[in-house]
Amino acid sequence: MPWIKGKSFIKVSYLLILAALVIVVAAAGFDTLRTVAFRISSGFFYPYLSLPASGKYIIADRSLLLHSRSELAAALEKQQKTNRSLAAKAAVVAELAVENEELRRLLKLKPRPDYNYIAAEIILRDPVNWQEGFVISKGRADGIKEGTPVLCFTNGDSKEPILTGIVKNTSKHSAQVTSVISPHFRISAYLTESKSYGFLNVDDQQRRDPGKVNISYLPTGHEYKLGQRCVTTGFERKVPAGIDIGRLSEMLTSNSAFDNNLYESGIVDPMVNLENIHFVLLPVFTDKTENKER
Amino acid sequence: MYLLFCAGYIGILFFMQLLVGNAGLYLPFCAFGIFYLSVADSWRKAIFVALVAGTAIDSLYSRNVIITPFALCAIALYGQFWIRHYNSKHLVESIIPGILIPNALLIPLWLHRFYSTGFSLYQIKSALSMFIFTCAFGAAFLPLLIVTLDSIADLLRMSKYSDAKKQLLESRR
Repeated sequence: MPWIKGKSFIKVSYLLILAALVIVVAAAGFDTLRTVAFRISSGFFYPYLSLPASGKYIIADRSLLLHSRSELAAALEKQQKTNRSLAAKAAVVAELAVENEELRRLLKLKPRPDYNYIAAEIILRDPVNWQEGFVISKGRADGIKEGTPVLCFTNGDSKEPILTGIVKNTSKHSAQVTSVISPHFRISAYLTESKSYGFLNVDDQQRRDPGKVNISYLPTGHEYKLGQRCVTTGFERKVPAGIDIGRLSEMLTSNSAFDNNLYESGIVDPMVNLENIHFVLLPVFTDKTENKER
Repeated sequence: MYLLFCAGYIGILFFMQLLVGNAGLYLPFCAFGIFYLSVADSWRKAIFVALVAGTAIDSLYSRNVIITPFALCAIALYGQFWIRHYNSKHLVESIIPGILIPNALLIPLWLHRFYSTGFSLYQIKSALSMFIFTCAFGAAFLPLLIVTLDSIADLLRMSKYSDAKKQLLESRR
């Protein structure tokens, strides 16, 4: 019967059009909902994801009791010695900070931004995009905001903090971090020996090596020595200046006739070891001028 | 009761996937659970679970593109294709979906990764090692999962994977 065939065909067509519409709307809404989806899902799953970490700490605390008294006393003494040395250094720095504030006040300069430091643990990582980002155990409730830098000390001996990434998204108790190796990590950078400013990961046409970061828009006419430190500039309001990002490993020479030759590009080898990182430090920016206005 | 059973094993598999992912291993436990649900019970329930679980995984990992819910839906439909063409009683045959299911998830993820981070020998090496390991794991894990869930379903007197073919043929009569 032809009208039944026609009806089935129309029904199938309507279903296909509806399915296509649903897919288009879902895809279009995804960008908007992605932030919301992360906050809802990480907030919902946070108690379960933090359970293994809590269990680990309980076991670690209990295992301390298995050590002998002399071992514990020796460890305590060593820690007290370190604390005394750090307290002495902090006292010198505090004096310098007070002097700096006074001089800034006299010169009528804006006060230096202040930072509160928050330690966090990595609770979730995508095994497919292992080095591109991770989720940490602190969120908005702890004062973490989008754009907060994430630092680490790559190994126990390192005394200088290293830039690991930037907070991309926050929920109440967790935050998503984009690492320095991610192609979406964009920040200004400074080469210390060449005294030049550049930008990381802004040139999508530049060759990308795995585990490396691209630096672009470096001024021509400078000598770029390989191995020099690449640090943060402080141009980004929440990111302190002078934090190590990596070392310049290669300068790219362009031979194309279409290059404007106004800028140079290079590759930076990041100092952070993202394979084996568990704890990070977040300097949370506190603006003294905002606080005074309030 | 059956809903509790499904929610229980899918939930456990979901958290196992997240915990193992924190160690750097990509083991699609959730996908195997959805395949089992699709074969043993209903493809509609499997698709619903696939959409929810896939969206939760992609949201937690903050991936730029939604891939997992669609890949899991494809696995749910593959379960129906499987039961119509193969016998669910032969556990050894379940090695084939155990190998194919990780591919359905990894291929789109890695294609997106190649597109966003570049195509290099190092990336290919990483992809191949992940593919080989995950497929080998799937080949071993899926039959074990079927045996385990079937024994629990037997205790609770619920529909089992091994009886799915028989039930399908009976429903056709």
